[in-house]
Amino acid sequence: MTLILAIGVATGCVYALVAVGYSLIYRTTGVVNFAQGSYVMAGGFSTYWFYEIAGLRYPIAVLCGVGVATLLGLMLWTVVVLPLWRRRSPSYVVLLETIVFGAIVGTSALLLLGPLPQTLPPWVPGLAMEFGGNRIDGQYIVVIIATVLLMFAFSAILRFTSLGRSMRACAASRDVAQLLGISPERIGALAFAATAALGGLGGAMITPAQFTSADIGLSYGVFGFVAAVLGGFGSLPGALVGGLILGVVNAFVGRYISSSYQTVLAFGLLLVLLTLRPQGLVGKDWEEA
Amino acid sequence: MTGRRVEMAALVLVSVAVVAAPLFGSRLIVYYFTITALYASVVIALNLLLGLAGQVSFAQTTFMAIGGYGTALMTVRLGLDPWLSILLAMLLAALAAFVIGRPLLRLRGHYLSMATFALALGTYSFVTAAMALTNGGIGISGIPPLEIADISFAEPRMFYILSWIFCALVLAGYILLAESHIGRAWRALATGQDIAATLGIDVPGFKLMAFVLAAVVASVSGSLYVEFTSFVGPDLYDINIILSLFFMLFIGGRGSTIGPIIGAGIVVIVPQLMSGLERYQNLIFFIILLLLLLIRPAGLFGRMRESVPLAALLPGWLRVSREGRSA
Amino acid sequence: MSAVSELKLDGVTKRFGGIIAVSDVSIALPVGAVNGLIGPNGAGKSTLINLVSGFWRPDAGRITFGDRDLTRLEPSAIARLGISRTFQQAAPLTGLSVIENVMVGLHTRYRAGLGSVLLRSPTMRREARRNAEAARALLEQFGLTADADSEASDLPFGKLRFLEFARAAAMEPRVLLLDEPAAGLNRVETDRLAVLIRNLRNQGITVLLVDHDVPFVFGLCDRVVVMNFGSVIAAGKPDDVYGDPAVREAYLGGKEQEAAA
Repeated sequence: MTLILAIGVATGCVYALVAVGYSLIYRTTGVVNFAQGSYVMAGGFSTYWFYEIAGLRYPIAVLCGVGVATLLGLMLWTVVVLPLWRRRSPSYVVLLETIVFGAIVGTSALLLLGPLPQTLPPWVPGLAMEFGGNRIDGQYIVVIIATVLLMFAFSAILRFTSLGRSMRACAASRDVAQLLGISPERIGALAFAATAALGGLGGAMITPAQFTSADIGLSYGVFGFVAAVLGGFGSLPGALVGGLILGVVNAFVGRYISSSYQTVLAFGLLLVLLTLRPQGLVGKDWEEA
Repeated sequence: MTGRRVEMAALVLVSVAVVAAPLFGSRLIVYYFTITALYASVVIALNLLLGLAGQVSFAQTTFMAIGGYGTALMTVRLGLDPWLSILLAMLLAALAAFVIGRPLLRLRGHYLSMATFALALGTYSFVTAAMALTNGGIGISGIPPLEIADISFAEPRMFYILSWIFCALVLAGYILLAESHIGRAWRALATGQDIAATLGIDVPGFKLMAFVLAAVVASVSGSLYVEFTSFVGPDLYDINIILSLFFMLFIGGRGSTIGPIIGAGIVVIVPQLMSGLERYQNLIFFIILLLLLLIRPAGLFGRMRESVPLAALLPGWLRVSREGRSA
Repeated sequence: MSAVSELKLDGVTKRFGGIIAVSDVSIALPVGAVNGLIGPNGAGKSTLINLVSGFWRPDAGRITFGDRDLTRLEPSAIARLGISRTFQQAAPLTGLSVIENVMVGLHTRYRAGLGSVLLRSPTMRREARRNAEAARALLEQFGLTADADSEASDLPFGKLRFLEFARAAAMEPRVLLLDEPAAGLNRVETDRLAVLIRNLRNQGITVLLVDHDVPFVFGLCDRVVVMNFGSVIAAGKPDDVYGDPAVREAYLGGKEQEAAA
């Protein structure tokens, strides 16, 4: 039981990292980036490649894996979102394009690295915890601690650095930010890169505990999205709350019902949330007709 | 206007091809043209919902699934007559669209897109997971064919005629509605919902009408498809199909008349011509879709003026920019 | 709907946060008259139009049209009762042509439902023909015939205003709310606008005209209401209002020279 809880909280942390990605990008650029989940896959899967196939030392491989995810985020911004953004394309076209981009990343991974799931060695070998009579894999603890630290670091950056202030300015009003000399396009690039790095790191972290494979991108994208909406789309603390709740709920559903119903539940929850309470648990009011 | 004339010419060509195919074409051509007709119908309906009324719905596959699984379950498990099952599934789809549509269509912008996307993917997850009901990934086979009197529509050429009659009816419906005051009301609410309201248009009512119409067409198409192949499975409603529908709509051109049919034809037939590249099929298709939306979002026959020269696509921050030092 | 329905506001108040935009306003618009509504910027004139047309709900008071209570109604319901409006910023329906814009204005005249359209019933066809003619007549009346098939948003500003007007008039309204229809028009266009408004008045339509152009309003209106800071400070015949000291002080003070010119 505590094992399920641990799994739930740890995967919930990864969902939270993805959800933060959705919310941050939405607040600073107004874009809903459905390729968010593919960064998780890219981070984990390419770390695997760097470590097992290219033979790099583990920490370097993780860094490279996160780097790949970051590059993908930048690529998505530069090649796809920015031109559409400039052209003031309707939002559903941008949404569609991010979905397609995510699909391209997933398919490419499938072609390059094959359909088999892969795993990685734990970050702290031999680490395990006794909790409530269960032996909990140390990697889950790594994920939880790392996520908490990242969240703190992130909020600190947002609140105390001038970069963070610029991001918050963009989130409040793109036009006003421009008047203040901030380049929304630079901020957008930064947001895409940062959220991709977060997602990639999440992927690299969770892989030793579970598996990674080419098709997990869509699943993390969906769960991360539900987590973001649950907590309140655009709210960063909401992302964490939503992620943890969803992670735990998912873990229990997976254990006691079936893993295939996890996605059904997630979508059902999403549908209910969007129609009945689009502002989520923590978030603010959003546009409705 | 030349745009109109090009469309008319395309319509003539398509009609000729459709008539000629079963007479001179191989079994394979008849097969793929039939599938084209069935998908085209769904895309024509999507064109009505999105191109005319401006409601972005990813959920057509949900209603296709209601039609497909509905027909399969009613014929195989309940032994109902196939024609009846198509009708009942259609009514079920209409009811579902009515119930879900009311709250859903209050959402605007990307919230509607996200909610319908959730609905569509959720449908796929559900039919995969609900083993007891749908046989999950294995699917349901052995669906009895359609028959009238002595004619069995299991005969490919007969089904071909049936599908194209259906598609033609849907297209005719689209044209009639588009040219009418209903079509104008849709176009008005697509660009100026509030203005439309002040002109006395019942905006929620019209949105719902479009949504239900699209659902009904999708359901019948879904039923017919399943009757055609005698099989239904979750993969008929997965992310690839969801994206394909949009691909068909965009490549043909939103808001155009002939676009959906041309788009469906391209997406169904072209991959068949690329033998040897099956592994890369999905990837190529996704990349083309990505580029299409970037470079020529109006598609072949679309009326929107969104095309942009390539030079304008270069990002500003790659060029030297002195303004806005953010860090 | 009897032709003697009167539009009345009773103690209508509207607040936005801490700002009182409209404060306890009570007006009765005599039927078939051109009623002017003037006042300095921020006096609450446009707010009033938005309240009457249903875009905003008043925080207090009632708005009635004959024996119908409009206060809680949706904009489309109010429109269907015969109250139409124009917008301060010209708001053409983009993606539709000029004549299509007017035909959307005619929407409430269409009785054909989904079935009739799909089956092309004779009723539907007759109705469509009749309304197409009505649309052409309206274009003629408002001087837009040459632009019938142009994309509406491509029109020059002056014509956009007339299109706006034509579209609102297409509804065959009982009450027409005009929100600064003369803004940005030159002298010739303004005179043409005045003629069109008088024509509508002569057809028995009640007009509420909000505008800044004082000579225009005073020259055209049968009655004038003056607002300042959300309240009505004067109402009556143009000559009476013109001489009202409160009005002069609040509004016409600096404009005396302009008005006299």
